[in-house]
Amino acid sequence: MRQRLLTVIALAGVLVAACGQSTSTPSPSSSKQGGTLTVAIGVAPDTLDPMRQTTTTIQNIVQMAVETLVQVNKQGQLEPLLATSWSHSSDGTTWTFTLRKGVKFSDGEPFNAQAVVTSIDRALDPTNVCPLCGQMPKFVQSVTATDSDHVQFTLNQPVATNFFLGNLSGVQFGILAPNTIQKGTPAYKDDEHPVGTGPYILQEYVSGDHVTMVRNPNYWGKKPAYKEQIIKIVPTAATREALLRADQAQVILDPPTADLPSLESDPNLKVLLAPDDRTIFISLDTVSTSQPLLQKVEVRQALNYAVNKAAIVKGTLYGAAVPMTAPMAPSLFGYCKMPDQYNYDPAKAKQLLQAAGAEGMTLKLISPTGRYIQDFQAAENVASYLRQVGINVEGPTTMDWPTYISTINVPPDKATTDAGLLGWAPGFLDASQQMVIFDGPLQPPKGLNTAYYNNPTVNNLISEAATQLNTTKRAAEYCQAEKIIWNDAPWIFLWVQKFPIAYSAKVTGVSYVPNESFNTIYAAPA
Amino acid sequence: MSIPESDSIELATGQLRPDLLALQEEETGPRREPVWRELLRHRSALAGLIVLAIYFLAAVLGPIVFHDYNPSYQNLNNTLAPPSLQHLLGTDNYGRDELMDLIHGARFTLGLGVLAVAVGIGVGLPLGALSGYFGSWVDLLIQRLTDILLAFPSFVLALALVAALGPGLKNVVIAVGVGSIPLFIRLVRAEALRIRELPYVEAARALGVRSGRVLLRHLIPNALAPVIVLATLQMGLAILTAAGLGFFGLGVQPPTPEWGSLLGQGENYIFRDANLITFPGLCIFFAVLAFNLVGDGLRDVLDPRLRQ
Amino acid sequence: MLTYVVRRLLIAIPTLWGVVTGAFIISRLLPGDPARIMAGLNATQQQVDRLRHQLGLDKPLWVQYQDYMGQLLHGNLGFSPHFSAPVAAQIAQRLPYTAELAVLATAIAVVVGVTIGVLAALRRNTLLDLILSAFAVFGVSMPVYWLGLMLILIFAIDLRALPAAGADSPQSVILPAVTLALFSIGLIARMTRASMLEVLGQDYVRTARAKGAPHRRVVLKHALRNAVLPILTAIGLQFGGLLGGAVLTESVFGWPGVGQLLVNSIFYRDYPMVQGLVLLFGVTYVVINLLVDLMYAYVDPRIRFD
Repeated sequence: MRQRLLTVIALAGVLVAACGQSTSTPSPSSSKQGGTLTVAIGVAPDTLDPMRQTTTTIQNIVQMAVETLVQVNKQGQLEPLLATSWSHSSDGTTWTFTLRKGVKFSDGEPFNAQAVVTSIDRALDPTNVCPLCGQMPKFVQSVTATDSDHVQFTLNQPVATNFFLGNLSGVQFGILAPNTIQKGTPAYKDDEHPVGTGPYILQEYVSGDHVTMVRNPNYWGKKPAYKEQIIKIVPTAATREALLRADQAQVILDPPTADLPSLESDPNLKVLLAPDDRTIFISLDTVSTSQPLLQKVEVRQALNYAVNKAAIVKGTLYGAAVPMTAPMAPSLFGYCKMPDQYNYDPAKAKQLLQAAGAEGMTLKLISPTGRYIQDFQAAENVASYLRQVGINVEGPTTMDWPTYISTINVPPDKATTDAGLLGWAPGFLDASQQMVIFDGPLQPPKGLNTAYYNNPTVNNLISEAATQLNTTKRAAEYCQAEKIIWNDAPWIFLWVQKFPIAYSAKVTGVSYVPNESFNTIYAAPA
Repeated sequence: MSIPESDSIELATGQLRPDLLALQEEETGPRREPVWRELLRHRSALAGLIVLAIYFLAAVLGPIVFHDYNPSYQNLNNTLAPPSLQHLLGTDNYGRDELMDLIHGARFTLGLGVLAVAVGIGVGLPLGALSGYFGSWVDLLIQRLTDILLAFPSFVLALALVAALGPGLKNVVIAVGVGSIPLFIRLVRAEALRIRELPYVEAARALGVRSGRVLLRHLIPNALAPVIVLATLQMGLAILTAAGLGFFGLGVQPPTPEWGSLLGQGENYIFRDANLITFPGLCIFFAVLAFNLVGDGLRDVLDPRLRQ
Repeated sequence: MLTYVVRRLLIAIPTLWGVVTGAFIISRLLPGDPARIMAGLNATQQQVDRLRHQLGLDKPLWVQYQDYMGQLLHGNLGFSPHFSAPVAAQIAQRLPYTAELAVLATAIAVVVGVTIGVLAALRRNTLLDLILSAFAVFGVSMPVYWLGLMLILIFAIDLRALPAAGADSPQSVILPAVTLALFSIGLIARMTRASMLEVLGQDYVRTARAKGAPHRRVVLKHALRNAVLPILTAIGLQFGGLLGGAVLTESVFGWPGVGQLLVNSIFYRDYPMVQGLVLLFGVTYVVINLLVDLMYAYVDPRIRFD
């Protein structure tokens, strides 16, 4: 405050001269029952089309208006939404969903089986762009309405329950009012104004500024408290915090990380460090020819022992993460905690390096900036720890995100770096969505296995589990694969990020789903 | 205010600062005293010179006196520490001493400003001289090129270039320097146009003195005064532009303690530890201020019309 | 006069062509795959490839360039893959915000800058001159976003007087406009001071004074009027800087203008949007300079365009 005072004096004159009189306080969006809730986010939506979007923040906004057949709850479990129940044939290739009755779209159209068919067909149409549809177009043969409240999915092959339902919980498979997305209309390709059955109705989107959601008076379920929610786009984290502190926004996503402690200690504010599924890691080039030492398991294990993850989480991430305890986040189905952890042990690291003849080895490290919580600074910390065990780290070097992706996501023979920091958030909370990144055949350019990790046992377990209908067996298969991966250490396993949300103490009911999602639908004045 | 008549688009002088142009109308009579002495008597320029002197001292002596500073040093147990006797300005987000960061940052920031302007002059001066001196198609080509560069918003150009080249000190220098090229071209060209018509230059040309010689002997020295003034002002701008790139994470990268880079990181700590944004901000502010004061002072001293 | 304008506009065509081509080349020099960025990391390579094909990014560069220039000649700025919307439509949504910001900032800068410049020139070498000149230099010496964040801290949080960000209330524009104006104030004030000093030293001003014309009249009618040319130049000159500054200011204040759009388009590798916006900035630059030159003729009848 004292330094600020100096600036006040320096600048006050400017302001007086420049704007004449200071204007009255804009009435902060009041948090009365039925009022407006303002939520500040950092990402500007590229599209609001549920089928075309690619980011969780946008999904969360769209999900206020568009509902799916099934949804994931706060505990990460699948639960009914527009479908009240489901069953599959014994061979696992036919799925039947019973739909909720008495539901209407916000434009008045009835919700029924035909609407489901129209929406799913649209997302699976190969001529459409659906980046998050994943393997579904490959697996789903047809979707048919057996009667007005039953829909049947016919699959080309059996698919694990969690996998199939997990996919359907994504808003890319959200159910839209059929009249708004008729085949042949522009909205079939690109629906910028999705109309769904949700508790809110998308009212307007002012490009780059805000999205306005108004309460759906005819919602079939529990009605939200706020009449209106304004989702404001503010790319600078410090500015978002300013909005919150000035009470011009009541909820903000991703406040400046270093401010988490002070936000937590402010009696007027609350901080929610929501569990997340995003793992942050340093992908090691396990087939490197420029640094062949990385091909050795002991060397990669040594790197894991060398880094004090807990200290970085505390000192640089201010608690907005938890060190990884397995190659995936605990919120995923199939997670199992590894019996042997890579605890910080520089002596052991040195010893392993020595045994592998890797003392003083050179390691080229790259990291993005501003993509994940404190990413570049964390990479610097990692580099510092690696140097302490005698590794000659070159870097970290950084670049803008598209450049970064095209640098790290390349086939092994085109690799120009030895190690790179990355984050991975599974599409839904199932081990299969984490395993794609360890799957041998899915090396770039086919997939994002940037470590070029290729273990035949793991590959087999992954493909077995994908079609395994027995849930217990499936979990065991993933657990086994995880143990092998953990031991092989294709990454420096860092941490599972948390999703920081700060909000005014005048608001309650700010919630989340452990897949980097915020949920303010049932937020209410305290 | 004379309007160059050779090419009416020149009216888009938009770019040619009239206050700089004025310098070209300098009288040829002998000066009363050396420029530097006049400059020292110019109060605000003196203030600027003193600030710059301190900064350059920090840049030169800093690494010698505080040679045990290691930019890669990290201490995660002592980040964002408040000012104390041990750390006069506290510690930064890596646990480094903030004051040491700033002292060692001086040479990077000043170097960045000087080198970026060197890029501008290095390319702009020869092109401007050629353009003005030879005229015809050379002029036309270079002028169109200048127009294009000027029509590109310079900050966006810098941002795009650094996104293409990758961040880092060298690339930031290039990206920032490119933006000042057209300004120097314009300035030197106008000077060349004028010199070309001077009787003794015409005479020299008539006598068959090679163009290169004429350019070197007469044009360059004459153009020097306005170029130096523009250079001082552009150095400040270059430092600011680099700081702006730091805001998008594309400036000079840590651990290099360049001030713009420190400022860019400090943004993340603005509420937690305002020192991290205030001190680098002030350092940059005073650097740019000093360059501007010296530039203005130089112009006052060199511009005969402003002399009382 | 008309022929002059037409000629100037004709000369601008190759410039703008160069600007667009430059933007095309630079955006293609940026490493990174727009299709991958658009589809996100979770998309399969197959989906990315299909997207790339739909965007026409699998065509040879030369063909892409020809296609783009062909579109431009038909007045079509192309289609933004990131927004999956026409570039022109997106720009049309955002441009009014930047226009509002730029015009207000310029207005503030001109009023404050010229006042400071005139006062400083009239009180040359006094304490007032020093203070005013120092203030003018302050403006050009502060990193824009540092200033912006400081203003937010003071006026939105400490004083709770103004909105911190966004564009939803009429007062929202004040902080970004002031931030943006400060840079231009410095430039305009210094230019005004310099040209006023020059004019005040001219014979006709001295004569007017000697004839006993009231001081204010001398200053306003004779001196300021004649000093206006360089000031106009300064205004034209600062406009380019203003647009550059808008890029940072808009990002700090979450102001939904074209500056922020341009930055994002670079980071998303939205080539058509980058090209369209750079072209827009180029056109603005050309038009502003033309206007400035035409105002020269208006202000100073000695200048004729023929």
